[in-house]
Amino acid sequence: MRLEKCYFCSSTVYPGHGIMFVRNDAKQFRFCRSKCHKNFKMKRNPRKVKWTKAFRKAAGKEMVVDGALDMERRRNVPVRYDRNLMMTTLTAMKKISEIRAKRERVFYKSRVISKKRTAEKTAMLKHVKMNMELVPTATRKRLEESKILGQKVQNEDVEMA
Amino acid sequence: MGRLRKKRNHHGIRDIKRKVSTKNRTKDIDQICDDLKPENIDKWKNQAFDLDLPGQGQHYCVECARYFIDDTSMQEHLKSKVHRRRVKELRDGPYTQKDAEEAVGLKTDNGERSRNKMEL
Repeated sequence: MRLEKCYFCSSTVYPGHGIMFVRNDAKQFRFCRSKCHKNFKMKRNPRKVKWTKAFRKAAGKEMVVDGALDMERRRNVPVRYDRNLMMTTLTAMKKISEIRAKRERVFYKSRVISKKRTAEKTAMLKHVKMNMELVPTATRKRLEESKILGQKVQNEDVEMA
Repeated sequence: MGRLRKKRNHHGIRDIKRKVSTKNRTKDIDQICDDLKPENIDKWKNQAFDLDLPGQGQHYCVECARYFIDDTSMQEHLKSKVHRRRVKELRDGPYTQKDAEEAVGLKTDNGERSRNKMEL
């Protein structure tokens, strides 16, 4: 059973699923579903379409550098059948996919949390900037000195005074 | 008045259907990238006279895969937004099946081929 990858979204194409387009120069393009096929017909670039794996990888949404990702490779070198090797490979595959899933979960969580935190911080800083007159003088001085709020606020204060 | 239909409103548009049909397929980005290679570009820039083509096939824009009727319209095209957009698109290079597979971590590693292994 040969599992192909979709040309557009890089998902797995199982036998009996999807569609294949053969261009007049005999190049083959496999698609997992009509959505991908239609997008291809519209000549969209998979690198620019946000839901494809190619985009997600390029935009840092997916784990790219990891040891667990370096195990799966297409090796075109013929290997002689060895029962023990086969068994160890099969068990290793299961274990590696588990590790990979775990690490991907961690990566996703840290990515989302860091994004959330920065958004919260900027919102808070904006709130402080808007209501600068309510901040006690000592704290205000410290804030201005540490330059957390940026140069803009200081300029506004000067104008107000 | 009942609920207005919002989906499939553009289903019967003739122009879109014709544009997308395989009969009218235009060249893909990867084919154009191939044409632009130094070994192929001369073939496209210096074409033989062909009476069936616009301008007898003498004014061809390789990036956009389009024939023009004369030099003035070709020069006009080279300054246009469509052409500049296409040039920008081509800068990224072609997207291939290999790129699609690498995006899910499927790479090829043939290693070093040694003779001893093959003799086994």
